[in-house]
Amino acid sequence: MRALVWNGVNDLAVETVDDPTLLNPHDVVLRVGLTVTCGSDLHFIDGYLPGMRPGDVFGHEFMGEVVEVGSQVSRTEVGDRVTVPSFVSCGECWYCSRGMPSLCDTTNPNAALQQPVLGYPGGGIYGYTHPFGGYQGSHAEYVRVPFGDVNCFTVPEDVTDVQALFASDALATGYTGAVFCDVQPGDTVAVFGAGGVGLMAAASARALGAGRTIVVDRFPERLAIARAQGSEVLDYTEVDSVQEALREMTGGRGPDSVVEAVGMEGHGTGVQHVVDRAKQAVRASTDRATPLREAIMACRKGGVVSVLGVYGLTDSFPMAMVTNKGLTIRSAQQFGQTHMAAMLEHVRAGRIDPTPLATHTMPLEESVEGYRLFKEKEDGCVRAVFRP
Amino acid sequence: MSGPRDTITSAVRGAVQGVAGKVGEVVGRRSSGAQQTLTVGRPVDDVAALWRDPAAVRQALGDAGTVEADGDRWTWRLARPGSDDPVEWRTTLVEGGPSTAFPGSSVVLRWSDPDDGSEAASELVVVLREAPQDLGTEQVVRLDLPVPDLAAGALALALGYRARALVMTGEVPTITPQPAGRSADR
Ligand SMILES: NC(=O)c1ccc[n+]([C@@H]2O[C@H](COP(=O)([O-])OP(=O)(O)OC[C@H]3O[C@@H](n4cnc5c(N)ncnc54)[C@H](O)[C@@H]3O)[C@@H](O)[C@H]2O)c1
Ligand SMILES: [Zn+2]
Ligand SMILES: [Zn+2]
Repeated sequence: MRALVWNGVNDLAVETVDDPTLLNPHDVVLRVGLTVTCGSDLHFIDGYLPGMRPGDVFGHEFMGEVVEVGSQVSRTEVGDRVTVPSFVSCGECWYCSRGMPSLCDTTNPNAALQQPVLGYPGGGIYGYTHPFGGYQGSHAEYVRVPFGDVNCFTVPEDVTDVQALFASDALATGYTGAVFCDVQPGDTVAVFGAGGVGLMAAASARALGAGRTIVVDRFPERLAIARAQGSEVLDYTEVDSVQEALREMTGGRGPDSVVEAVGMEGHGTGVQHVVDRAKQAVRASTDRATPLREAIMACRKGGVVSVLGVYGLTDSFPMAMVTNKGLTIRSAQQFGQTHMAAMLEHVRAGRIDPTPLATHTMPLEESVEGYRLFKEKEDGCVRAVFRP
Repeated sequence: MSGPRDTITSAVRGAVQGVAGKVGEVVGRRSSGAQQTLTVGRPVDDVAALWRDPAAVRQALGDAGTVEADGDRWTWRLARPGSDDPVEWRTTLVEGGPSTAFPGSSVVLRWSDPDDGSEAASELVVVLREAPQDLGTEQVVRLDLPVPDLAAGALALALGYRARALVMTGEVPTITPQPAGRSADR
């Protein structure tokens, strides 16, 4: 089959690779309908996150049609149109049975690679670095999905393929982050980053009862999507201080919670940013943590900072602000399986619509160019969707 | 001269080199044993049944090797670096109940070579004890093999992790023979 592979830092190609097959009794194989770029891929494409190997098929946000089921699969059937959260859940372990599927205790074939780093290895993910399992990714004609009954969610008829696609990751992540905010009716939630994840976090926060959402970014086309979906927006390049701007916008109280949806390649201004960039350039640090620090500064006292952006070993972490402001920090890789039923219901009811994220759709053969557009944020690209 | 212990050392190195090599630090001080404890959300009896079943242990070994049993005699064939010939490790499984060496244990399974009486004899020990708060079983996997800490730790974890997956889900997570993409040497 044809697939998009990582051959090295900033070196991608569409190549012919072996088709996936059923390996375990609970596996299913999908014919990929749609598969899409994610900001998380940029971390290893750019070389900030180690653990990829030349020839790896990547991609972890997808939907498709079931074409093969293993001997122990009982609910999922050939022909089902399904969406699949990015992390592999077993549905049986302590974490999976408590709503934390990305922390699964059994689905990481490379657990021994991850234990030295995390202490306790997490679950596997499709098409990501080898410490995360080394599973084949979704930027391909077919993909193998372990524990089909746990991870495949049938898409209701009135939910489109594109909506189902984003339920796999961008929406699943944004929704997880909004749930972390413990939104009370009428709350104000600020969101740093108007990528797919941030836009979906803002939409989810409103669906969960927020009165106001304020989205911070610098790209006008992204901010325009946020505005069209009901958020107020803040272009951080137009203000001296994001923190002050948010304080002024909220009567001096500050947002009740702040979602950080930027990650380690965050862009920033000021002296600290110059230091961060220099350190990152010589690989002394992997992170430019400006938005993370700003999120912590901007949140009101006693509020929640919900961190969705992916970071490495961030230094210069403003712990004093966390303590003195009594903040709660919550973070995770998305819990898509836990929230899927609720998310699909919000989508059906029109309270959340991920459709505008699909700014570009193209054949898989053009996916190298798709990643370039996505990475450079050219031509208003929010997400490049591939049709294998 | 290479004695049986060296051969086993080299076999285990081979078996874990995939894992430990990736971790990136195969040399290090020799360890007197690596131990990895995991909690398995199933009763002690279920976990013990898995470790007594050679077919299940073979599955848990994965690419580290294979094992055959004739009664309590278990013959392990462990993958060796740069060679298609696995190395053989003949052991006898001895099962004990609660042990003072492992406080609170209810089952102790020990695989070792009965003819190797030396103090430094290689062994694999699995200790099972009831976990608190109805969490199931605390499963201790201890490898007493002269390999560097990291390598032995990686194998002990891989073995324990796969055994837990097998008990919990009926399968072992695998990407073999289907790595993420083509293999790196192609
Ligand atoms: N936790 C999870 O499960 C999970 C899942 C998916 C993605 N992620 C992470 O979420 C993050 C966002 O993903 P995405 O796909 O939306 O990425 P993206 O690259 O499309 O969007 C990131 C956005 O952040 C903006 N940004 C940069 N610096 C900023 C700053 N200082 N202040 C405000 N905005 C700033 C960029 O302009 C961009 O629009 C990434 O780090 C990704 O790895 C996490
Ligand atoms: Zn993602
Ligand atoms: Zn699990």
